[in-house]
Amino acid sequence: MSDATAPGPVTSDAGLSSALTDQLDEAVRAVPGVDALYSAAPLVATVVASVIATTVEAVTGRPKSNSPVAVDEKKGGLEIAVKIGVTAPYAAIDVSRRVHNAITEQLGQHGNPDVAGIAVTVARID
Amino acid sequence: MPTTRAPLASPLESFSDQVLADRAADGDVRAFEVLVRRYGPLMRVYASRVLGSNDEMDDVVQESFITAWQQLPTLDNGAAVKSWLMRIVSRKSVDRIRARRPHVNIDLTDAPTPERHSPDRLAEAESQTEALTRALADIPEDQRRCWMLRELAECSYGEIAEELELPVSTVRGLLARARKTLLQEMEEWR
Amino acid sequence: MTSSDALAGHTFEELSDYLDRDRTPADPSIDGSPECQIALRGMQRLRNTHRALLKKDVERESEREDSWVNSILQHINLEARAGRDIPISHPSPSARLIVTEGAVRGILRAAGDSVPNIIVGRCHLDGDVSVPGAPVIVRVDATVLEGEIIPSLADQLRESVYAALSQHTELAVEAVDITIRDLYQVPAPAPVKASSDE
Repeated sequence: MSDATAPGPVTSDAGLSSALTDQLDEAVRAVPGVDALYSAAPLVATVVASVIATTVEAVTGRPKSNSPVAVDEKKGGLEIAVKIGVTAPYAAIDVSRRVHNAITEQLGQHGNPDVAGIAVTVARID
Repeated sequence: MPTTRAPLASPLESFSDQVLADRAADGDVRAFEVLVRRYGPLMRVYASRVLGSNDEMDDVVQESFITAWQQLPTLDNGAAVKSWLMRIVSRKSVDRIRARRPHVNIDLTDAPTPERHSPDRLAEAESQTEALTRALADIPEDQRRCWMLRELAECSYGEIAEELELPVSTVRGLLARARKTLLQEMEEWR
Repeated sequence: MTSSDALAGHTFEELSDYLDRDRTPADPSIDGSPECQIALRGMQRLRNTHRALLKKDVERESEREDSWVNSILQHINLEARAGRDIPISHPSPSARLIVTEGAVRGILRAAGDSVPNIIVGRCHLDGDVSVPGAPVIVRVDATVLEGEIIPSLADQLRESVYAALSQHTELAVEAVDITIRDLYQVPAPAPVKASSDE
C-alpha cells in the first residue's frame, strides 16, 4: 500500500492516461453535487482552503495532466482515486456513488481496462 | 428580533474564542480564519517588536499559525487561545533571533545605533509613546520578553514562568525591573 | 534608587505585583501611602501609554489584512483534520467510497448552525466508524443563547444532526449526546447595518 507513493505512475502510455485522467476529471465534475475536486494523490502536500471565499483548487504535480484525479497503473489494474467536495442539498452518499458510476462509465469508453479499485473520498460537505 | 438576523452572514465573527478554538480544532477553517483575523495583527506587532524589523514578521506569524493549526486539537482550554497563540509567536520570534545570532555578531557595527543618544533625536522625541518604543528596544532581553508576555500577550505570571522556564519569583522580579526602567526612561522625556 | 523606605516599606516589585493583581485584596499600607500611590500611578501611566501605542500598532496591522491572511489559510493542512475514513456502501467490489470524519464534523457544525441561537463547538464520533454498521454515539458540545429554553433547542439540534447524518452517511447512530457547555449573550455589535444593504 505504501508503495502507492511512487511518483511516476502510468509512464508506459502517458499520453493515453493523461487523456483518460482529463476525461475522468471532467466526468466527475459534471456529477451534480460535486463542487470541488481535491488532490487525491497520496502524500502530495497540496492544500486547499476551499471554504474560503476564493476557492483554490489543488493541483497535483503530475507531469501531463493538471487534474487532481489520480490514475495509477498497478498489477491488478487501474487504481483511480478522487477526492471531492459535496455541496448542499446533495447527499454525500448519492454523490459518491454517482461519481463512482461516472468513472466506470468513462472507463467503459476506454475499452473497460482492468480496474483494481475506484476510491471516492468525500472530504468536505457544505 | 435576534432570530430574524440573516443566517450565515458570518456570525462566526461574534463567536467567543472558546467556540472558535473548538471549531478550528475540529477542522473548521472559517473559524480559524476568524482567529487569524482577530489575533493576527497583535501577533504581527509582537513579532515585529521582538525581531526589530518587519522583514521576517510575515514568516514568523505564518509559521505560528501553521503550528497553531496543527496543535489546536491539543489545546485543552479554548478560551485561552489568545495567550496560547501569543506564546507560540513569542517562541517562533525568539527562535528566529537565535538562528540569526551569528550574523548579528558580525554585523554588530551595522546594527541600528542607539538613536536616543543623538541630540537631534533627543529634541525630536515628541511623545511618550515614542520614548516608550525606544526604551523597550533598550532593556535587557529577558526583561523585554517578560514585559511583552505580560502586556501584549496578557499572560499570567504562571504562564510567563512556564514559557521562559523561570520560577514565578524571577518573573515577578524581571517584570518589576522592566517597569522601573521603562518608567524612568519615559519620565525623562516628559 | 527608590528605596524601600521611600515606598512605605514596600519594594517596587511588590507594587508591580499589586498592580497586576488589580490591587486586590486591598492593602491599606499601600493604598494609604502617597509614595506608593505615586509609584503605582507611574506604572499605570506606563501601562496606559503602552496600550495607546499597542492600539495604534495593531490598528495599523489590521489595515493590511488579507494577502497575509489568505497566505496563511492556503498553507494550513486540511488533511490534518481528515480523521477516520467512514465507508459508504456500493455493490461493486472494486468501489471504495468514503466520507471523512472531518467532513462529517463539518456537517454536524452546519446542522447546528441551521438551528438559531445554538452554536456547535467540538464534535466526537464514538465508536468504530470505519466498520459498516458498528454502533456510533455522536457527542456534540454546544453553546446556547442566554435565556433560551435549553431542552427544546437541544431537541432541535438533535433532530437536525440525525437528519444530516442519515443524509450523508450510513452510520448506525445509537444516540446523539449534546452537552451544553456555556451560555452566550447576544453580540453587541449592530446586526442591522451590514445586512440592511442587501
